[in-house]
Amino acid sequence: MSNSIADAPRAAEGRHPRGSAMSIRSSSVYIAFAALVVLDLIVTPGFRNPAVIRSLLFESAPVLLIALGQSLAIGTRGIDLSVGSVMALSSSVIGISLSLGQGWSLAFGIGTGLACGILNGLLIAVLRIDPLISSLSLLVAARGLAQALLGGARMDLPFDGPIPWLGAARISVIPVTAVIALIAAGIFAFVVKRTTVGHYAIYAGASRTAAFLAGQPVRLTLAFVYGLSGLLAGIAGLFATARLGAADPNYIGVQFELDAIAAAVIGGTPLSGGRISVVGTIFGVLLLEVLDASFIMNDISATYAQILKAAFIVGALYLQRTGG
Amino acid sequence: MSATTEFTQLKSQTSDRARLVGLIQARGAILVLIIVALIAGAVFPDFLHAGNLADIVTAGSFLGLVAIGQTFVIILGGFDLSVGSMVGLGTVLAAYALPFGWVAALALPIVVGSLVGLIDGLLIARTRMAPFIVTLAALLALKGAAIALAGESMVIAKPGFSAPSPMAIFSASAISSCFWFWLLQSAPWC
Repeated sequence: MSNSIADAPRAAEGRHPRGSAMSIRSSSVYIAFAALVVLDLIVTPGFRNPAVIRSLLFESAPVLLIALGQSLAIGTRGIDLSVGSVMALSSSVIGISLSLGQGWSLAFGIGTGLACGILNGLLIAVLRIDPLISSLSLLVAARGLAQALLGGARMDLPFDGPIPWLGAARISVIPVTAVIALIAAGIFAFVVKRTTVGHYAIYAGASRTAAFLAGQPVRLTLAFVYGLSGLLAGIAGLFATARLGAADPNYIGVQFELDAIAAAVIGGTPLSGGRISVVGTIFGVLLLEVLDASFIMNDISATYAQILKAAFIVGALYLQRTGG
Repeated sequence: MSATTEFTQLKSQTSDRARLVGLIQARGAILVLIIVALIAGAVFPDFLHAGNLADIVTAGSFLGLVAIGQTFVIILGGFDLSVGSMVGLGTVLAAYALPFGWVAALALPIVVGSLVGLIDGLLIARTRMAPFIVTLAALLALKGAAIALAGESMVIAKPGFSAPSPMAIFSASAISSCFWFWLLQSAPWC
């Protein structure tokens, strides 16, 4: 990273000899991803089919969006557990506002995510509630509200219009949603690495006290970070709804926050804050999605798949642990 | 002289206020509990009856036991996401062990739970991995193990078997008293 300001703690790391162990640790997610894909190409029947890439990217797009917001929240030494439920709430709002026209319901869905994120940010910044607790209460509340709005039932979308288009549109094998998610990741990386507010966020994670003493608007920054996470969750909810072809408050986003956290951490954003890796997060998401697909395509029962996935997450983290 | 008195008064006022704020922060949950119970009692006439209160305390005693463990973890600045899945695995294990007697049904979940916690703890302490991630992995693995063990369905331990409900309340109270004493009243043993 040439931009030394965004990665202040890395300068300190430079004192250590950059041996091969060090480079394995910092790039373990890419190695693991490459190894898994090669293994799948050899072992998994049908993995070479281009439809697999299409399907994988359709599943990855919403997870990538929430993992981006999550990685920034983690970078500030916080966490956002609410993203999965916010996706469901955004989906419900899309469902109930369909009668106003799909353009409006699309905007309301994304706006709902933003509103939830801002609420979460205000709880954290103004009332100084711990992010874990505020986002946990939002996880419960948003899921409940999402189910209440649709009476607990799913609501099918019409077959044409901009939202169903998003659920199926693709350029060759690349889904449009994945392209949008990737563009969002690019903008996100620019904000985090090149703008003042991005630097403030990372500093606040590295040392809250030092950031405060340096006169940075720490609480405003936190409100921005969680607002952004909510906005991305709103878009993710839209994508998931479009892909499913229905607004479903019981199914959309369940335990997605755990995948997002795992992806961010495997990608090299430590839970101790002060550092963020956007490219690592992208590959962390792809890794988890390919892993899920490998289990399904090899007909491994979902129960054992969970155990294997757990072992894989621990293994990936073990490789990049910060020793000493 | 008067300035000193004023200062002392001011000081005692602020410390009174600080003490009040501290008291609300420390005991606020009890206040909220009382308010909620009174409102519920006013709205639902049966709420404050003994039978209903016993049901609520029984349901709460399970969560209470889990919360005691979580308290110790949070004091260390850590986090344990896996407890819910461990409760699930514990019920499956207890159901399988029950035909061998109630001692087995009691011992097996406790032993397995302790072992799983020990493995989590060793991973966190020795490899310095984040507690969040280690226990997230344990959450997935234990849930998978519980569902796999149960053959993706329900395990009926013994038709008609159920522990008397005061048992849950008494054991949860006894265990939380022990941990309260250990945490706040005993001198550190180290």
